[in-house]
Amino acid sequence: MEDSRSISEFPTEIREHIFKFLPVSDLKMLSLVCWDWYNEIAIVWKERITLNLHRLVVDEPEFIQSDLNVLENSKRYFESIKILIDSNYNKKHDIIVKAIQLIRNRESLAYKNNIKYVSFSGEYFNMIRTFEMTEIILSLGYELISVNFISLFRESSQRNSDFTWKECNLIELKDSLKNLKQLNFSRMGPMELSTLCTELTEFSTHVNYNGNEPGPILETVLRQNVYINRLKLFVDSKVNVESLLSMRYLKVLELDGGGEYAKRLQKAVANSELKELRSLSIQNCCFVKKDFQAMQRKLQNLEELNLDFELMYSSEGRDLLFECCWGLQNLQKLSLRRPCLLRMLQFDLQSNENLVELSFSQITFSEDHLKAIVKSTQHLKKLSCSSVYFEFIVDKLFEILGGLPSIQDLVFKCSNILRTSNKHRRITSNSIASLKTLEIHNDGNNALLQPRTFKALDGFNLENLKISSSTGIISKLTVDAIAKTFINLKSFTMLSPQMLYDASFVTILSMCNLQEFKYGFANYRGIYQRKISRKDLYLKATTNISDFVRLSKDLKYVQLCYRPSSIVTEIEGALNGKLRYEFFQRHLENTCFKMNLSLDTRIVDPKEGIVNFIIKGSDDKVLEISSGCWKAIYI
Amino acid sequence: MPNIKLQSSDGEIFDTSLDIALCSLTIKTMIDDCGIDEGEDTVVPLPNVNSTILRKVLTWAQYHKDDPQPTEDDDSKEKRTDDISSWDADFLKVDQGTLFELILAANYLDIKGLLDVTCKTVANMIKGKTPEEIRKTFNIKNDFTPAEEEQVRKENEWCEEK
Repeated sequence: MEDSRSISEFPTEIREHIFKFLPVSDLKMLSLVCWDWYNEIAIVWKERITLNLHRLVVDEPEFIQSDLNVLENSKRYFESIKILIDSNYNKKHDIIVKAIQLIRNRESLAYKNNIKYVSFSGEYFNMIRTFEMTEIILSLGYELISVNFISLFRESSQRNSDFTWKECNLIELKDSLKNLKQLNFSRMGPMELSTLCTELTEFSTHVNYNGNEPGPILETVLRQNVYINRLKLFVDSKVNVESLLSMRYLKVLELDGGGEYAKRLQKAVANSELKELRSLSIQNCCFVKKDFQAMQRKLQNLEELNLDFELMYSSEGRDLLFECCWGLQNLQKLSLRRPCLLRMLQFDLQSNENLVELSFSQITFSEDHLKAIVKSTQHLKKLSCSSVYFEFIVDKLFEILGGLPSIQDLVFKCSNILRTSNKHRRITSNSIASLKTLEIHNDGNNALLQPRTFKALDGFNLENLKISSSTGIISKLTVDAIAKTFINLKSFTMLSPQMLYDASFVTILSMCNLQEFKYGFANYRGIYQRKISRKDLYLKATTNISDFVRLSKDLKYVQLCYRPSSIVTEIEGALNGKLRYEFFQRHLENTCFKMNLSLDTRIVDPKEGIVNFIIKGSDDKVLEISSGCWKAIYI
Repeated sequence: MPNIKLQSSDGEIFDTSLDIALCSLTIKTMIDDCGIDEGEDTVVPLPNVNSTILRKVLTWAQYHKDDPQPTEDDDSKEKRTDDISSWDADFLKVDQGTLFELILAANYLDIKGLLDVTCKTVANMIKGKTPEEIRKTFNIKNDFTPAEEEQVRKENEWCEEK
């Protein structure tokens, strides 16, 4: 069929449908195609784009006027603007005000503002208050609790019934209250603050209440806002736990405290109406068996439980506490951290049919402990072990886990193995047939990142593998074992403290079903996040492209996607649009001319800082990908 | 499952299984609204789809007839374009004209799965391209002046994903 139809003849809604499948970087390119498309993109644009005025805050004074000209001449409509300002930029308020005026002067402009971290003061405040706000995300703690702040929200609530506080995060409440005193506390007492908030659905605070006033305020706020369903509190002796837990609509409760509130908490929970509670997280609390047993009856609908016991000094109830968790029959996700619980565990655990996700941290497992868990959780889909100490050989580990018929994801972080087997024990593919994803992260010895670990999993239909080591290079033998064992691997992520050997790259290139390889560096602190200067980036790009071209003589094309996330902020402005394109092209020309290569560079995703290089050979001798399945190599 | 007759814009009649035809919400609505009973020898006219395209649409529907119906949740999911099945990818290895005709047919017949996969294919033709490459691909004239283009380019620098 001839190309009789043109995309321009499509009904607008079809083009919009196509545009919805494109990332913002491509929408930007589309907006530059023609005026019709520019206008059509505006429809999709409004839902997905926010206008970030932060540029005005950080730009040098000589560029401000040119920035404002761009805004003035723009024909775009924005439903959302974002301003990130702190007190250091107060002097820029007048510029922000001017910018907002320029945009607002256009007709038919509807704002659904999503303004974060705004400092409300002076003229700037007066401008903001004219917006029709439907939602606000606030972090209180700068200069926000002020007369202006209170009146702004009162006005917004009265003017717009849909106005909601999505989150009220009372960080540094104490300091803010100091400001309140300075602003004449008698005129705006704590009750006024509390009665202002009656529609909160989420509430969190990290404040340690050493003073006298915040406690009653907090209690009043909670009493007034009966519909709060997510609550995160720092609890200490000044806070009346009992009153906090009278909220019958609570679905998610996170408590962190000084360790002494366990008894009061268990009493409060035991007497509460927490029928809706689905998720409970408790940190730094000294529970003993009786405390938890008292709560257990009220927690039967619980689906997610996270327990982090820093101060578990009572050894009497550790194992029973574990059994209590197991006894919550609707529980789907359980995360336990630090108590060395399993040391004293009875090996006959009650079967839990609903548990699909288990997470352990800083726990020692014996072989029998793990077997007991496997036996009682036959529907488990995901198991995460972080800093877990296994008292048995790695082969045994996978053999035991083979008893989980539904397991799909295994994650091991910093896991140590006491002993490793001298023999290679092959595990049949029937044992963990459903396993699709395996993650192993080591920052101790590399016991789990040895070839034998992967050879032991021979025959598995693994599709995603993520491994990292911050102490040693991942050996070629390990990479070979991975390539040989997981022939259906589609996604492979590897983090190591040193560059891989060239030969390892060749092995990875030969994995015929691999679609994505992500590679990065890690050190003992975790992912390597050194701030990279532009110059460093050039050098890194040069090195890697040279390596790949040298290693890939037979490739049709090599496509390298750089993800320099740590430098995105630094070079964001410079790399947008054409400038970014030229920026990398210039660099690549220098590199590739030496290698007699022509090149074609294209932008993939400027927002993410991903630049897509396609390198083609000159005089028709294009480099060819032998496997044909490679889509991207992330570096 | 009984058969139903569909007539393309150029008059060709396609005798097809009803469960395949019902992939199209347009046809389903026609049948429901017009009270066409099973077994009746009624012909459903499809004046906006020619026989070449209708044949391809029915081939696609035949292959996908057992797919789960897309839900509203699917619409809120991340819009990916790298999840086109290999069968669909092969099926859509056609010239641009045919691809566009398929999109229009999928839109008219209200077949969400086909519309999505064809639109994704076009989106993939756009991804990573410069404005000039996009114009060349779809034969579109640039009606920006250099100054206007520069203005849009600068505006883009202010915009980011929500």
